Formats: sequence, structure tokens, C-alpha cells
Amino acid sequence: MNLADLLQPLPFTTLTALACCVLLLPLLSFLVLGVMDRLAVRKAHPLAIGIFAVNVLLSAYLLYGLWQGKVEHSRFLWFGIGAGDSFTSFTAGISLDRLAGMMLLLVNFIALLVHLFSVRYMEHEQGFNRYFAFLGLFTFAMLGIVLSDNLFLIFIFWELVGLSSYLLIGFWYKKHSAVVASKKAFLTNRVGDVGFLMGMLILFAQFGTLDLSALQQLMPLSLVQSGSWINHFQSGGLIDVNVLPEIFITLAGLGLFCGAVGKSAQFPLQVWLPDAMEGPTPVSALIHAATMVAAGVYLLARIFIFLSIDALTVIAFIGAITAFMGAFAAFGQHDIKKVLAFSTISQLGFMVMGMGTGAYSAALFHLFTHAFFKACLFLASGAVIYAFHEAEHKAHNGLRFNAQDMRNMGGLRYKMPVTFATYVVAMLALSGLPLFSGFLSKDAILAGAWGWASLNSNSLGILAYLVPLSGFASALMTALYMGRQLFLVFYGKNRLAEFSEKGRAVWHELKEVPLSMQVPLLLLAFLSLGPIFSINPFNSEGSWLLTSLPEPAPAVPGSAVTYEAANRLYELKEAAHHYHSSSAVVSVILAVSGLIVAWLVYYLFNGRGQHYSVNHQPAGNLWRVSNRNWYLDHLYRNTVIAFVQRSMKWAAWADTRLIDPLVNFLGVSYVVFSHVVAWMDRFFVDGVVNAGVWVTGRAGLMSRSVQGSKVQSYLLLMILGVLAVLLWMVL
Amino acid sequence: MTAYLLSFITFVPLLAALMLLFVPARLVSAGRWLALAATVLQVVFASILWFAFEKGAGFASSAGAGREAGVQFLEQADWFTLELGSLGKMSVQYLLGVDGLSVTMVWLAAFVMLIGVISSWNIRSNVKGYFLLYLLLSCSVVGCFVALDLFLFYLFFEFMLLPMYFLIGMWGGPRREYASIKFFLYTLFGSLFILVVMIGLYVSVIDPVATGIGAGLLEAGAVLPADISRMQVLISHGELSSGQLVHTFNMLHMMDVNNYIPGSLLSLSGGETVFGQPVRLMAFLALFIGFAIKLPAVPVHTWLPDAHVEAPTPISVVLAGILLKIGGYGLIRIGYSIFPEGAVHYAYLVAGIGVFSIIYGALNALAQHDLKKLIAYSSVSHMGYVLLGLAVLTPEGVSGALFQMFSHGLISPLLFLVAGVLYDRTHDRLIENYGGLAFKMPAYTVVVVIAFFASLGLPGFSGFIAEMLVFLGSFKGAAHYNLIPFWLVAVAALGLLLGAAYYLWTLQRMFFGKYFIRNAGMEAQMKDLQPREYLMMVPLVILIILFGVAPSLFLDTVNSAVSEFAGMVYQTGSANLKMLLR
Repeated sequence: MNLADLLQPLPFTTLTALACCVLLLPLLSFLVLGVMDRLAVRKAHPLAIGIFAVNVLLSAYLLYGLWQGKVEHSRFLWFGIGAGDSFTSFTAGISLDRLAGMMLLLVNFIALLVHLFSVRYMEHEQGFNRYFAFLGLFTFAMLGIVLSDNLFLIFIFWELVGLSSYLLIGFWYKKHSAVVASKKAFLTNRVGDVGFLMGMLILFAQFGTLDLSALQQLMPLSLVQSGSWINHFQSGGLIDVNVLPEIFITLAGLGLFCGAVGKSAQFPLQVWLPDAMEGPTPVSALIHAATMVAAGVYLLARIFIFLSIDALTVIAFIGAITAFMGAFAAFGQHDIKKVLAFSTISQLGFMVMGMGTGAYSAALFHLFTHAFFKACLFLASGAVIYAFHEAEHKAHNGLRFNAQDMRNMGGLRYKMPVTFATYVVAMLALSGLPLFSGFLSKDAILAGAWGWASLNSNSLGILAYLVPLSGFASALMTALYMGRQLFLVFYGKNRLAEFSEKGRAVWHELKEVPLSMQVPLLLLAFLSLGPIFSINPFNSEGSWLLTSLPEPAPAVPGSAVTYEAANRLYELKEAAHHYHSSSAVVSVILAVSGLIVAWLVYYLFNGRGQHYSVNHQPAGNLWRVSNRNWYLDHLYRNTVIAFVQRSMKWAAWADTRLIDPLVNFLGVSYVVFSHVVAWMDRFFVDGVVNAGVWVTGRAGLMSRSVQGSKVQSYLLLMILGVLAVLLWMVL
Repeated sequence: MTAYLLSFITFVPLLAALMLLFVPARLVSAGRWLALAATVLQVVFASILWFAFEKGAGFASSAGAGREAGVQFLEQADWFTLELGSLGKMSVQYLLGVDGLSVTMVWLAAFVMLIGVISSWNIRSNVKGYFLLYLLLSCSVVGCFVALDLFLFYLFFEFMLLPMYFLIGMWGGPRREYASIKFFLYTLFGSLFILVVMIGLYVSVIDPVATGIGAGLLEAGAVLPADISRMQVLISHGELSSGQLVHTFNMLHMMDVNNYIPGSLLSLSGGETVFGQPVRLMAFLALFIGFAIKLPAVPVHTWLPDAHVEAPTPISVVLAGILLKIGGYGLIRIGYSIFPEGAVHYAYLVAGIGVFSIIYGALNALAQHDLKKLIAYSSVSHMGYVLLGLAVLTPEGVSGALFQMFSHGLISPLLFLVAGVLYDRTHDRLIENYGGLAFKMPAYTVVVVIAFFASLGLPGFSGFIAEMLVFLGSFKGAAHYNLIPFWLVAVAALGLLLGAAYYLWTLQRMFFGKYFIRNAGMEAQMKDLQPREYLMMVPLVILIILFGVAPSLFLDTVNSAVSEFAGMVYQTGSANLKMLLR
């Protein structure tokens, strides 16, 4: 197949042109608001909100157009390398399918709600316009990931998402912890990006392009023969061949997956996400819950067809490990946002596990349901924080307290009924209770994992069952820690008010958030209800969202000739169907019992939350491991970071103590050498000349003594003398 | 008008310098305005050159038949000829020309020089002398990029040292004498290697056309390609006496192995060996060392941090922006083009040193306390990509190397200007002496963030495309040519991490957090950017983004030359290597 034919430019259609508008409008928002921030003009959020309202409408229209399964693709030559036969084209383009349309609507919708919510949340901030500008930049980059038609372009927007996340986490740049957190997020993400890059390099070396549609056609035609991965291709009328070791197929997939590990906060790179909570809370809702962290899962969906079985197995295990680790770490947190952050890590682990076990549709289904209920939870926590800040401001009695610490909370359901109600809906959805959206999607993933384990128990043995086991354990823990948060924040009596007189004054001032913040909460809570996604809220398999995102046909090497990969996917689906009912029953039991245990432990036997006071510091190793997130930060500080710091000192030492002294030594020896030469010049060469003069003088005296003899002999002597001197000088 | 365009671009500064000689030193601003006028003219004409340059014309080579192929805006004249009796004739030509590999560099040189003049506006001491030297520098730098005669190139290359030595040594910081001597000796040391190779080439290479005309076998003005081939055959059979041979410094002749006298020092067949190594490979190594010092590559880089720290801001700008590129360009134009077998044979070494420079430079940058030194080490790190991209000989890799030179030529001036802004205000560049500058100097911080992110390879800025091309090209080269191992590319990618680490850490320490400045007496100086500073920074920012978003502006110009160059070096190099090591 000729590569040049596969990369022909494709003209813009109405839909792709519209998608282009949707992509560029947030950029416009960024540029205009960014400039306005520098010029210190008044608040310009109506422009941003207007832009996003338009974007939501446009994306809804796009999704309507794409719903029938139409795929639209437009592309142009961005730049090329080389000339003639060796010309390599780098194209840029927009590819639209149903999944892209849905993501488009999701991102824009949540961005719009977050904009609305932020207006009041950020109203007193310096750099108000800068904040909205950064939101625009983020959305631009995120939409770019969604729309891009090739990996190179995705990588570009991938990095830009990293940048905007950096800027938003570090929005309060005077706060040291925020700045450190933003740096950590960027660097950790870049670790993943290096893997992403490696994956791209392998595919590019093998196929000469990173265009997904071209790869989809080229990859199945490539072959695996006796340990080599072979790709025949046409170049200037000749058939040429690229060969790489077979392992590179899996490495390519795992490399790209590394990018997802970074962005979607998977083990071992999940450490940045809890710290990212230093950013403004609406940002956490948009970026670190609903969209950016889901980009990794979206990327996996895009490259799903290229992943080898080995790569998928690794992905499944990473997802399972992450789900468990995240859920466990959520217990030991005092910070209301940190609990949600670890919960996000855990849920992302679920999605990645779903991808790895071949439950493609279920993973994407969970991506969408999670986006709504997690955004709702984050915004609800933001509402709580906002309410506390406002109350602190109003009471104005000098009391300083951490408005995010759950030890200061309790009993909020009386003061903030709307927030409470929306929180409960979203929290039940997250816990996976029937009638709520999370139940449907989580159940689909768990059934998939169970089915996958039963199919893989031949090759992986008992290990395979660790994946669904970890999934069910995490599901139980999810209900537990969410129950814990619910009872600690909204039930019992307020511990701040109990603690001191000033605290009571603050409590007195506490009140529900304004309407512009309630509306996003209500909308998101509504979208966390089960019947929205499935007419029969107990049956995830019947959900319209699940069925509208079917697995694509695999395009791994050799799949053009054998149907091994396609058969496997089919088998997985069958197995998932087989375990579907049992997993639903188990997960409902787990969720309900989790909530009941949480009620017992954190409410009933905890003095209605009173024991969880400001001075409360639970002890115990398990608690510590949970609170410190498995000591991962500690581990990295002592290994990777310590190693880099040591090498940096070593490098500086080598430069200043090794190379430079050597250079200086050479320079000094050169000077010393020239002095020696100068000395020799003075004493030897000059000495020789002087000696010559002296010898000549003595010879003159001597010759005087022979004077008076014959002229001939005088001449002879003279000639001999001159000859001798000449001879001596020459030698 | 285009006939003498290259001479004009090269010698306009020299002309201005001559005029400046006759201006009394007390007219301080005359030097500034003259230098500004000269560099503006240079930029204007270099832009005309780029526009008028015919894309797709290939790369300057002898095209196998002694004819100049791919060269545009050729200016050729005999400079001097020496009759050396039985040793033949020595012909030195005034030969200027550009191809896809050099035309962008000429423009870059002119542009960076202009930015440097704006940045020099606040030079206060001995202004006349300063601009006199600056103009000389400008002339010799551009000369390096347009000279196609090795003698002429060497002349420009060496002449560069003189103004540079005085500009650092007289207008520099506290340790300027040490830095300038170090710079001078280091570079001179490298030049010796180049000189030795140049003499070897002179002894070995003859000009078939001039020889033919001199011997009466050809008629001047009516030379056909076939005649040249005929002459080459005659020479290779030793049918001309050595007294009739015209030895040349013409680099285009040097690229054709048929122009080498059989059995001479550097000829492919029957060439000499030293320590069992063919001299041609040794010559490549010598050139590599010579240009690696200029680039600079680890471990011959230690002149750079000192020179940068001591040099005044505009000289740092010029040094990082354009002088380093002469190292890379020289390697391409002379080392790789004339000795392609060395490029193939030593690909591993070149790539290895490149990757080592990337990592080592980045680690050193991480360890620095002085902002300017940090940037200097980041230059070492970024120049490593040039070596890596060049070593693999794929079109992507070579394009990446060229683009990296161009893009670094835009980004590093911005970085040094940024460091200069702070130094102008407080005369203190220590990172730990500042904190939270974003609060006091917001516009400055925006520019710093742009410069840092551009340098750490963020998409949207030119450096990203350059580094990506180097990575894509080097991995592809590792897969297809087997010249370098895969792991080398993977290690190089760690440079992306370290690069982000030292910039973000610097941002954290200097620009974010609580505002503080150690020297409280300088508080009043902490003003945000001035109009002149905007004037020199904004164009750079615009260009960095422009070339990052539309890389084809650059790549279209170099594509066909790179394609021919990479193909020629790999194919000819592999073939030559087989003959040489037989």
C-alpha cells in the first residue's frame, strides 16, 4: 500500500469545519482574556461563558450529525521532510466519530458549568481574567486531543494540556505549595510523555506515519515472522521492507500507554494528582476529575486497536493496582478534596482496567458517568469550601481554620441543603448503588474483568483473578470512604462550632451557596441518575451509551489474515455477558454493606462524628500508609530524585573539578613551557652565541701568536677556523 | 542586483566599520546608529536572499562532475594563485554561495546581530570601539556561512576570534580576562585541527578545470562536464606532471573523490594510514573535534559557561544565537560533506557525544546557582540534539538538527536577554537571591515563562518541532541504518525531563512564591520591562511561535538540500567506507 495515497489531503466538510470552530473558540477566549488580564481591564467572564455556551450548542449539533455512525475526516499537509521518494508528510487533521462527538459535548458542557460556578467562586481573586483565560487554554488543548487525527497532533495537545494544568494548579503562584504541586504535576506527566514519545517513535520508524487512519490500514498488513515484525511498503515504485524485533509491537503499545499512565494518574505516576488539589476547586472539577485525567482513557480508546495482548494484560494489571491503591489511600485523608482526588485515581484505575480487560465500551461508559458525578462531587466540595470562606470572612473574628479539613466540618446538611442533596446523589452514583449511573458503568467493567480472568486463568493462573478481585475490593472501599466523607461532612454536629466560641460565630454565618453555583450542581446531579443512561436501571448491558460505543475491529499485526484478535474480543464479550448478573449482585452487596459499615464506623460508633475533632490524629500503620499514599512520594524522593540530585552534583563536580582544572593545567603548563623556552633562549642560545664570541676572541689571541709565519698558513688556519665554527654551528 | 548579494550582506558591516573609523569617538551615538543601520540592511538583504532563494534546488556539491550543483547566488573569482614550481599551483578563490543548508543560517546570523545591536544600546564605555568590533564580528560570522572556499572559510572562522576576544575581555564581567583567554585558546586549539585537515586537503585535491586550462587541454569558458570527467581520468592515471596540477581550496571540488590525486594523503584509494586508521577517517575526527569545541559538545565545552557568564548581554546573545551554530554548520559543510565515510564510521561516536551532552549539560544546568550559567549549560544540552540528529543521517534527523540550530538561534537569545534584564537592574544573577518576581514584574515573568517553555520543548514553539524531528529521525535511523543503538535515543529522551526540571525549578525559586530580593537596596530598580526591552524580545517571541506553528516556513527551504545531503552522505559514505577499509 502506498503511504502517499493514505495521507492524501482531505477537504473540510461542514461538520469538520464546525469542529474546527469548536476547537478554536476556547483559544480565542484564552487570547482575549489573557490580553485583558495584562491590560487590567474589568472582568471579562461573560465573553468566556458566551463562547462556551456557543460551543455546547455547536457540539450538540455535531453529535446529532455524528450519531448515525458517520465518520468525518479532514486533513491537510502541515509540513514535510525530505524530497522526492524520501518525502515524509506530517499531516494535521480533524477526525470525527461518535466517540469524538460525545467527548466534545462532555468537555464543553462541563467546562461551561465550571465557568458558571467559577464566577462567584473566584470573584475576589486577583487575576480573575487570567483564571478564565487559562480555562480557555485548557479546553482548547483538551478538545485538540479529542479531535486530532494523528498521534503527533495528539501528543502536541497532550503537552499543552500539561501546560494548562501547570498554569491552573499554580494559579495562586504566591503559595509555595501550589507552585511545587504544579511543577510536580508537569514533571510527572512528562515522565509519561517520554514513554508516549517512545511509542510514537516505534510506530513512525515502522510505518513512516503517525496518522491513525493510515496506521489502521497499515498495521494489520504488517506481519510477525520468527520473532520479527515486518512491514512491506511501497516507496517510489519499489517494495521496501522495515523490520523490527517482535517485542516492539508490545513496546509501542506500552509506550503510548505510558502517556495515559501520566495523564490518568495510574500507578506508578499517580502521585501528582493529590497535590494538584492545590489549584482552585472548580479547576479540580474540570481538569482533575472530569476531562484531563480522562484523556488517558480516551487515548487508550483511540489506540485500542493497536494494542497487543501482552500490552493489554499489563494495562489490566496497572489499572487494577491503581484502583486498589487509590481507594485505599482515600481513607487516610482529612482534606475533603484529597478524598475525592484519591477516589478519582481509583476510578481511573477502573477505566484503565476496563480497557486492559477488553471491556472497551464499559470503560468509556464509566468515563462519561464518572465525569458527571465526580465533577458534581468536586463542585459540591468547592461549594462547601466557598461557604466556609464566606462565613469566615463575614464572621471576621480572627479565627483561622482550614476550610478544606473535614475535621472542621459536620452537620452541613442543615445549612446547605442543595449542596447536600446533590452531593448525596453523586456520592451514591460513585458508590455504585442501583438507580444511579455509577452502578451501571462500574458493573459493566467488573463483569468484563471477571470474564477476562476466567478466560486468562489458563495462561495467567490464579494471578488473573487478582484483577477482578482488586476491582471488587475497590468497589467495597469506594462505598466505605464515600460513606465516611458523607457522614463526616454533612451529618452529626459541626465540630468547628463545638470547638470554640469563634467557631460558633463562623458556623452561624455559614449559608448555602448562591444560585449560580447551585445550578451546575443540580444539573450534574441530575445527570448522575441511572435512568438517564439505561431505561432498565438494573441492567447495564441495555444502556444506550454502552451500546453506542462498540469495540472497533482490532488492527494488530497480522489481523488482516488471521482473526485471532477479533475472536478474542468476541470471547471476552461473551464471558463478560456470562458473569454480568453475578457481578451485579456482588457489587450491589458490596456497595450497600460498605455504606452501612461506614455509617456504623464513622457515625454511630464515632459519637456522631464528634471523635473526629481537630486534634484527631489516628494512629496505626495502615492508617499511615493510607494517609501517605503508600509512601510513594517518600520512595521517589529517596530513589529517583535523590539519584538525579546526586548525578547533578556529580556533573557539576566533573565540570568544575575535573575538566576545568585539566584545561587550566594545560593552560598553565603551556605558560610554564614558554617560560622554560624563554629561559633556554636566554641561557643556551644566547649563551652559545656569547660562547662563540668568546671562542672567536680567544682564537684571535691564539692566532696572533702564529702571526708572522707565512701568509699561506695564516689563510689556511683562518679557513679551517671558519669551517670548524661553521661545522660546529651546523651540528 | 542579486549578483553580488552575498558579498553585500557580508561586507556591509565592514563598510560601516570603516566609516565608523573616521567618526570622532566623542560622537557616542554614531556607532550605535551606524551599527543599527548596517545590521538592518543585513537583515533586509538576507530576507531578500531567503525570498529569492529557489527552493528545491538541492545542496551544494560537485555533483560528481566538478560542476557546482545546488549552489545559488554564486560569486566566483580568483583571489590569488601561487606558482610553486614542481609542487604545482596553489589556487585560492573568492567563492561565495548558499544552498538550503546555509541560506537560513545567513538570515539567522543577520537577525541575531540586529537583536544584539538593540541590546547593545546601553553599552556605556568606549562605545566606538565596541561597535567597531561588533561590526567586524558581524562580517566574519556571515562570511562563515557563505564561503565555499575552505581558505576563505578558515579566514572568516579565525577572524571571528579577534573581535570576540576583545568584546568579552574588555566589556565583560569581573572574570573577563580569564574567560576571554579561555575562549580564545580553546577555539584556537580547535582551529589547529581544522587547519591541519585544510592543509591535507590542499595537498590532495586539485581543480580539474583550472588544471586542464593550465595544461592547455581545455579552453577557458568552454568546459563541458565530459571534459571534467576526462581531466579526472587523466589525473587519476597520473598523466599530468605534478607541476601542472592546480591545487585548490574549493570545497565543492573537495566533495568529489575523483578530484583527489591518487595516493595522496587524503585520497580514497591508496591513501595513507596512521596507527592503522585511514587518514581520511582521522581527518574527519580532527574536524569533528575542531567543530565540537565550537558547538560545544561535552567534554570540550567548559569555555562556554565562563564566556557566557562574563560576556555582556548582547555578546552572550550573539554567542549563543549564532556563533555556536557555526560549529554545527562547519561540521555539516566540511566534516560531513567532504568525509562522508567518517560520518558513517563514527556515527555511534557522534551520536553518543550528542546524547552525553544532552544529559550532562542538563544535569549541570540543574546544579547551577547563576541564572546565566544555567542558560549556558542548557545551550550545551540543546546543541547535543544537533549532533544526535546529524549522526543518524536520516532526512528527519538532519532536518531536525538544522531546525534545532535555527530554533535555538531564536530561543537562546531570548533566554540571555531575559537574564540580561535582571542583570541590568541589579547586577546580580544568583537564583537564590530572588523570589516571587512574578508579583513585581508580571510582564517580564510572562516573557520568562514563554522563553523557558519554548526552551524546554513545549509544542507551539519552534524547539518542539526541532527536537521531535531529531527523535523521530534518530529512532528511524537506528531502525533502518543500524548506525546507532535504540537505547541511545531513549536516553536522549530523558533530556526532555531534565530540561523541564531545571526550568520549572528556576521558575519556582525565582519567579513564584513570596516576593523577595536579597539586596534590598535594589528595590527601586525592580521595574517591569521597558520599551527597548520589548522591542528586542517581542520579535523573537513572535518568530519562535511562528516557526513552531508553521515549521514549513523553514523546512520547505531546507528540504531538498537535506534530502540530497542525507542521501549523499549515507550512500557515498557507506561506499567509500567499504573501499577505505578493504
